[in-house]
Amino acid sequence: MSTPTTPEPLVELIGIEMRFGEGENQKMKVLEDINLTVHEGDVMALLGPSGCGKSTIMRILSGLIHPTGGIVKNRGRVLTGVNPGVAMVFQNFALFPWLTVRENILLGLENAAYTSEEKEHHFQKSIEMVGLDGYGDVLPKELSGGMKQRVGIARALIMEPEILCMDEPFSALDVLTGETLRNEIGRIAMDPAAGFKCLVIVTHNISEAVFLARNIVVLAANPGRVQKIVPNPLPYPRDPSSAPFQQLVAQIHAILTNAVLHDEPSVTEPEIVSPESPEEAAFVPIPNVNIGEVMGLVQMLHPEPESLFALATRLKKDFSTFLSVIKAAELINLVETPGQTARLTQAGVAFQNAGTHERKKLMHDLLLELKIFRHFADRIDQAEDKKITEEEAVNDLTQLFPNEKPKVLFRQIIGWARYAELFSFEPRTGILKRYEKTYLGKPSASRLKEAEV
Amino acid sequence: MDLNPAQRSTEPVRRSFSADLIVLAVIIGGLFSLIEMGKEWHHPFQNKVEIDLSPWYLPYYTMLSFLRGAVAYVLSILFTLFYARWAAYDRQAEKYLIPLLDILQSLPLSAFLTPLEIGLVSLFPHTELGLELTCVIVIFTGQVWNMTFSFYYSLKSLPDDFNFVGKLARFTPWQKFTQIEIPFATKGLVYNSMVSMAGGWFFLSITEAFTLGDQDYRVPGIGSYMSVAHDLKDGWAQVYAVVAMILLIVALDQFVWRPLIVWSNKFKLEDTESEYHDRSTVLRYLSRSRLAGWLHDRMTRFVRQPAVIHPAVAPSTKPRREWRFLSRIPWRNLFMVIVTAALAYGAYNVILLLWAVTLKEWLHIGISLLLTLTRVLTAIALSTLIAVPIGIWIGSNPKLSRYLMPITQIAASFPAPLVFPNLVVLIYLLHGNLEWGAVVLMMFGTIWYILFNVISGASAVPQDLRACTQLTHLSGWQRWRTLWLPGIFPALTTGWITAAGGAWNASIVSEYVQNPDQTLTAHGLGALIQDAQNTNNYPVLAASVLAMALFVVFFNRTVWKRLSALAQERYQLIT
Repeated sequence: MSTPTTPEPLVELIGIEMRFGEGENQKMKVLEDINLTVHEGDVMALLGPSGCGKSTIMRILSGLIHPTGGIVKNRGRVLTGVNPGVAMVFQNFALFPWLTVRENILLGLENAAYTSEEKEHHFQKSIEMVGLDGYGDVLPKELSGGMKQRVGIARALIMEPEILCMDEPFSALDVLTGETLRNEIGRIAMDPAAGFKCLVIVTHNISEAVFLARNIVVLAANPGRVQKIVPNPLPYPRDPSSAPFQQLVAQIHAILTNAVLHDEPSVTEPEIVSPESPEEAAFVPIPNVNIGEVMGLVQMLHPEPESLFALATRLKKDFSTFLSVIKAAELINLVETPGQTARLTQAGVAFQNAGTHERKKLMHDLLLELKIFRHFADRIDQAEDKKITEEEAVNDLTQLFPNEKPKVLFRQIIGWARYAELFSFEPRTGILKRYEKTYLGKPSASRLKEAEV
Repeated sequence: MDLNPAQRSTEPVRRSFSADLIVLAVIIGGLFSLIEMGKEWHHPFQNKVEIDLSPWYLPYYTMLSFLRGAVAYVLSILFTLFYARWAAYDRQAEKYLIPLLDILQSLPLSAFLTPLEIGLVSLFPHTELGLELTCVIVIFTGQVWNMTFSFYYSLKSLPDDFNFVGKLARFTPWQKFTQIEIPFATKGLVYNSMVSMAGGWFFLSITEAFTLGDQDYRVPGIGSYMSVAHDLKDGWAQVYAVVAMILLIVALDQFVWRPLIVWSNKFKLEDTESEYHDRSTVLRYLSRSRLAGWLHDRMTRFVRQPAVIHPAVAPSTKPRREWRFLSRIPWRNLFMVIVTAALAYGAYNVILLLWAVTLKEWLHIGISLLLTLTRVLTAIALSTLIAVPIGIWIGSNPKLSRYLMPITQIAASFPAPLVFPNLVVLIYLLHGNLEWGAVVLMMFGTIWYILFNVISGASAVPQDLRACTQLTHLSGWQRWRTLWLPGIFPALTTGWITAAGGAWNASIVSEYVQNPDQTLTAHGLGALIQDAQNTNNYPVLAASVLAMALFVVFFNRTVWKRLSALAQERYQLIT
């Protein structure tokens, strides 16, 4: 890729807002006030936890979907249809199973004003660039995942796009293949013959972003917004084992930690706290995390603080996923996160030392400390028949968390409450009530039903 | 009965007394209907039951038609459970049973109406039972085959792990059947039952009222109501009958199939939840009833007990052999001898019959076959031309397909032959004739299958591929060529195969249409079969039916099977 002397803005996103869903109350905000400019010669990584809308941003700048608010400009002009300068590489390859590798790649030139010789020339060039020469007449299903993605890349490259978009291009591949392919993308990005002017890549992998990008856009979730844009001045080719590389990775870890955990103001700019009434602010939605993972994490922690990054590495977890687990554990007050570290709280230590039965009891009490669980416990206790329906619960959640998916949240709450023996929920009837122990021996009708569920 | 139930009804449920009342009413209504049907069947024999065209009697007739379908369905289930298990677990028998099933599926069994009728009426000369049984058997043959195939394939694809679990838990065969096999097969079975029930109605109009030689036979039902209304040129009565039929289909869809489909989702093997939740208001309502809950508990206990037939089966430590009674050598040999003897006797009789067919008649049959083939293919081609663009348009638009998919499904379930006489009048008004008009009639039966399948195929095309065609700036036609047409091809072949089967069957009713004033025929095999039936020309009837059956099997093997193999091989969208 050439580095022009005066970088020109190719795509600008101005005040983008995106809502999904139908109905006035159900509209969920996934993106809020996104302002981004992609310049010529840029390599931009969109990095963030799941649910931060990074893929949605990519689809908006390529013109595949249109935002519910804000403007997209392509070379200064407001974009109305599909962005003419964009080619995309998809996470799951999006190869046409009925077309050969050759036909799949040439699809990119279907409407280009080339003679067939020129098309052939371009085809050869791009298939060589991804190292698949000789595979032209093969059907995609005969290829391995890594090779499929090479075809996807060749199909994008042959278009000589101004903007090459890659949507988590390596996450459907195994680690080794992903790494090999990432190195090659790094090589291709440096190759002026590749023909694209800038690269936008969506990823949740920090070192991938640091390895490839000149600008790393760190996003925060719920609703998706830009947390910070980190420039990456390291010279290419980058060495992941070098000190500056590691330093930058650590810096981004810190930013991401702040974006997910909110436990201190962001490193440079203060977190914008939306003006909510204190009553509402106290209700915290529980993160989309399996309670079992939280338990597993607590098992691995010590009362002494340990660096979050080191922990994630030790647990072989993807960092942003790991952060949501930490966040969940912190919410229940089993873990605290001073700075960039995590350690067990007193409750956490007690929990670690407890047996199965006491653990459930502890969890039961800890969950009731959370306002959201307290709320439902009170609702059940106040109800005449000591139960509420799923509909009522979901309604409450819709009111309390207009930006969340209420049904997903409800399932999440059920999952946690079941573990803690706090509530029981019967999907067939949709009834939520306090958990009560049924003892063995007498098969009551309700137990039989429970057994089916 | 649970097997990794990923079931989530997202709807709340409250117990309600009115739900109990309704459940009770349904049970009582069901018993009452059965008693009515029993009375009807034991009626002294009469060729022509009087049909009252007053719309007040229509619910009663509709109920009788429905009950015939229900009885046939119960028979289909029993046949399916027996035949499919046998084929799946007996390696040797499987080699014969599955091809046999394939051939049976291709036979235009309505063409056997006459011999069946004669046989059964002479078997029960004093009651209506013979006529009723004929109806039930014809409906049964329209229902059973795909259900059997579905259950067979489910059993064959049962993961070994589940069998191991069953063995380790010392399941009795009954437990294995109710807790492993049935849950695993439920989803396919429910879907196929829905298709089957619709298929069973197809010949409603000719099973309930038909002519044998110079004798007219009639049993009370919605089909005979329609035919009487048509004979008497009572336009309103015909409209009532069509409305009643549509109501019956919609009611079945809402009160039987939709709840069953939602319920059967809990047997889905994947853990992932789909974007769209099937919903059923009826199921939700039903689960409010204590009575239904009680019945459900009873049922559950019943199916969970170790054995139904032998109560105290001690779990044996020896490995249990599947279907022991079938693998016992003498038993099976005896069975095979009986089957072979029956087949040989049948073949002998058919050959005797065919002996009487002259060369000229054979030639006539051959030409008629070609004419009907032309009609079938034309009907499919025209239906495809119309249904594919519409289907893709609907299917690629999720909002539209959510509303229109159930409607096409209901249209596909409607027995088109019911309105053939009316359509023929229309064709004549437009100065057409039945030679081509028959194609139009067939299309009324075929187009819905194609439309329905294309819609479901198009809605399954992945978003990423659509995005890709947008980003590579393909023009409208290029998008069709590279994405939509190949993308729907597997679904389209499924639609074609179903439609072709329907069209061959429909040829019998569409090439020969009786109006009160005149009988209209087109040249073709369907008309030939009908004509042979009416003139008691059994040699020609046997020869025509045989020719049609063999040709349909041949065509399935050479054309449709290959097309669908190609579709599976090259155009399947699973990456």
